[in-house]
Amino acid sequence: MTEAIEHLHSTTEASAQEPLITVRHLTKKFTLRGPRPKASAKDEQGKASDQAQERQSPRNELVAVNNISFDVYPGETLGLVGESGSGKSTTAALILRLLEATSGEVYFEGQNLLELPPQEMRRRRRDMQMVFQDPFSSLNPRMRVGEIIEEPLRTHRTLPTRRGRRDRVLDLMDTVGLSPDFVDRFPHEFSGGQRQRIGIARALALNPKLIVCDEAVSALDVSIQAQVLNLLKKLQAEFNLTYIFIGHGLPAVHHISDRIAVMYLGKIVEITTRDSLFDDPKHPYTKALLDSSPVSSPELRGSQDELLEGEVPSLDITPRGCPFNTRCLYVQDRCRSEEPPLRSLSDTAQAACHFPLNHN
Amino acid sequence: MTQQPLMENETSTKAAPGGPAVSGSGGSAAVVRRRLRTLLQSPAATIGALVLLLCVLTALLAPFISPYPPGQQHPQDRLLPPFWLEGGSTEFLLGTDNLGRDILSRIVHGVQVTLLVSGIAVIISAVLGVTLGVISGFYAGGWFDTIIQRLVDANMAIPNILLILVIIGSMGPSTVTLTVVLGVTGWVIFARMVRADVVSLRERDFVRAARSIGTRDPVMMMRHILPNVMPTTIVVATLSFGTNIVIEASLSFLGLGIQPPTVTWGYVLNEGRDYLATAWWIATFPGLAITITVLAIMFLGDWLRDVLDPREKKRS
Amino acid sequence: MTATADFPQQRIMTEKHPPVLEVEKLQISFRGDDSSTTVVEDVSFTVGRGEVVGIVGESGSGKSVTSYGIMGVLPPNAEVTASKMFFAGAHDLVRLPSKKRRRLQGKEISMVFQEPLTSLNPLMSVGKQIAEPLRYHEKLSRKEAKRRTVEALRSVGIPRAEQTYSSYPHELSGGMRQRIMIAIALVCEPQLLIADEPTTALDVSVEAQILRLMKKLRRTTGTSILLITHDLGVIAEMADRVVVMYAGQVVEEAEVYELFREPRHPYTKALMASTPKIEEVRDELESIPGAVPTPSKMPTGCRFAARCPKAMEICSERPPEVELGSGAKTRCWLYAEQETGS
Repeated sequence: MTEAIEHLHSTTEASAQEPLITVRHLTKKFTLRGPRPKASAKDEQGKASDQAQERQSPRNELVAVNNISFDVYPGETLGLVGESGSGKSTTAALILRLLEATSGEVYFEGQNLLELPPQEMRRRRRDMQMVFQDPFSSLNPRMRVGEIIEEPLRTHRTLPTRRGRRDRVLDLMDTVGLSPDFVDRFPHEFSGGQRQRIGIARALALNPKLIVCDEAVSALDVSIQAQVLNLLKKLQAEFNLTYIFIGHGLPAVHHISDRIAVMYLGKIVEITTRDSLFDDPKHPYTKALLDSSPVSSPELRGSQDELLEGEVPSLDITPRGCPFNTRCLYVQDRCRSEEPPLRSLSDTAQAACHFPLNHN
Repeated sequence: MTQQPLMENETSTKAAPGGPAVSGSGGSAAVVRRRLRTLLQSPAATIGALVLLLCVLTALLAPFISPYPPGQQHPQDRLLPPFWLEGGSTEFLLGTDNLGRDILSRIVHGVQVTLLVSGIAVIISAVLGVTLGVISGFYAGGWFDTIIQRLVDANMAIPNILLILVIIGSMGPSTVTLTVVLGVTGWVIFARMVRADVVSLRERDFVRAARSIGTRDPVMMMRHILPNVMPTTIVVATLSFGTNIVIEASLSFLGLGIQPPTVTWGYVLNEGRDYLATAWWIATFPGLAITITVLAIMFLGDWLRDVLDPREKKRS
Repeated sequence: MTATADFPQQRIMTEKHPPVLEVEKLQISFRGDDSSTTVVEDVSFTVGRGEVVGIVGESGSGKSVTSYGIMGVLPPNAEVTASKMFFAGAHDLVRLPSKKRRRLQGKEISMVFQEPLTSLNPLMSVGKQIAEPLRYHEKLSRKEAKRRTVEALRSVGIPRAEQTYSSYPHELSGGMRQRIMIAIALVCEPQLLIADEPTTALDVSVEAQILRLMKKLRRTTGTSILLITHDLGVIAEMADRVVVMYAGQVVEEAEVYELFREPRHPYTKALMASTPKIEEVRDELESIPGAVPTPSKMPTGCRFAARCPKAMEICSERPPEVELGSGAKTRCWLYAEQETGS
């Protein structure tokens, strides 16, 4: 693992800019006794995958996020992709401390968030906000739009007067493309796309540096998704925002990200720039994921030869060695015994594979 | 701004027809008028409201509208049937009991205590139960929750009426004791229902959103959780109100209820039980009064629950 | 197994036999408290034998309601009318008595839903659930039904079919459950499979597997598929012919290659332009301003006019359905003059 860290540091130096966020050895384990922790449920729909067939003696803990390290630089968008059980949403929750990590560090502008006392953490939260997947459940149905957007301002007492807060709310609504006339409406009166704009306005209220978009466009119709993606891009340019954009749909992640990390079973298997990921994937899982994505035109039918077999294994029976070895088309003996560390393969690309694709 | 607000037309269609939601802050008179209009659109709620209004007026004006003082005996007019029956008299519209007391007067005077005792007890139970339920559900799995859940379980194992009997038995019956005991023992159903709501609300994204903003737990409970458990609370409260009236009646039946000369419906009902075969009206009319009032409260509760839900507004 | 190769063959079959499904001027409304709302209007299309017809549209387009109407699984307050809705040229699905309809459902027409977990009975082993239509429709013996079920489980790619027979839905993963749904739908070898967003709830890699499975089954059994989806990618992957729906109407119908090469209706164009593609990098996606009109406030003219970049004055009048030859149609004034009439 030390090897991986060295490489990570070297890329840090290469880009000459201090990262906004540095994640090191971040790990989250859930104990399986008692009620299963809810927070990760969304991410584990595939957990039962093979239980019926192979009931191996399950460990009584489940490693949702397993020793991951990466950096996010100011002003960039880091895409986080993966299937159910990959731990991408859990990672986001850990960074924002909506869940407490089991071990590891998360530095935000050099300050380790995981060691901050609750009071200071609360103050720090104004710099990092979140946009949620479900525009229907992420807004309190009993609050008016104005109150929803105003809430962060009240919580952090940034604007002392009601008047000042109201003006800011109207301003924010204008910024995200909502008519200020709607300020006294309730969420149910809006369409999905508009609600997502309300959620974005709430996230913007405190002028954050980082916004985590957790499947923020996954529940939206295509044309509305395009509107929201465009809005996110526009806001990023306007306010120099940094995004962590979590998604399972590759086209949307491709569209918005500068760099992309691919996660599988709680591990980052590849992290690289957008173009290098799509043009020259190094990890067999990345390649398979790209090939599984539906084609964008019928002319491209059949161009995808490498479909993945099987499904994501259950997290509590993670295979030994490389986590992907049960489904990998190029699996070799070494993959079953030794876990590959995340290592640099080029200036930009890092992958966790013993035998990366197209690599001498 | 390349795109104008989306769906402007859709939103206004939803908001426009019923009139409401045109503007949130339309002055309190406008709000009252709007509420009243939605009330009148629901026949059940209208009836419920009228019945309750009648009850309250009766309670307030009892000394003036009641034909006789409640305890006044007319020894020569004992066990008179209601006026429309053979032997009845228009002087005693609903008949008299075994001591010649006017049933109508007793019902009219009983309203006051019956409503007060049940109503105040419901408020006590709701405040206790909702508070405990919200905290317990918000920290589900924590030590506080564990304690509350054990208490709830223990309460489920003992019939409430038994508990009340024991307490009243040891403290001696009085109006205040009864109210407090009913209130304090009634929290369990509130706590249980509210906790179940909170446990699911807690996982909703808007609560996570509030947490990610840095909202403190107490604020979160007040602002995000409490308003969303109101529908449940109202439904439970209406049920509980009815139960309280019935419990009060049962206690009177056992002689542990409110003591004479104070009159309650339960007490009058109880007095009639020996005469069910010969003078059914003594028990029937207070019984009817209880049934009608409880129904009225339920109708009104249903309506209130809908009105308080912003999502329901577009329907009216 | 490129679909390109399948295609000409499909066409020939379509011309020989009567289509599996013919829908003409389908209208579906829901009765409300005091008014009724029409959510699907003037929808016409056909599904040929062995053909995969994709219905694509966003929420509010009426695509799912259309499929429920065909399947006969709408709630009781729905009113379905059509000048023609024939199954296999013989059964009139609008006027079919419910008893006869039940005999078709699950046997000749079957359906796969979006969310496999809620569509399966949690207290019944999956094997029994697959065997149920066999016992009901084909009156097979218990033993024979079990044999066919295990066979069906194998054909949808379920490993260890005998063991899985006695598994319960919660013991299986999302992809496995969807395979079970497909096995239930196909076990009686229906002529028409209606798949309503069959892969929307699944992971990308599992989605690809399910799509591949459906292609394979179409080839081996000759079942026609009516595929309802919001995802142009799934359409590009699967469909022979595409019906594009918007606000309860069909706005365009074309053969899939033609549609992607040359979308005609401004809505189809906009939909394609707003879909991000991994083959190209764009700064900004085209987006369609505004949103779908609600059923209670449908414009009298073209329903897309308010959001259409090419809207003209005439668009406030009811748009014509323009035939463009080779089965392609579009509901737009822009093409009114090109009408071939042939």
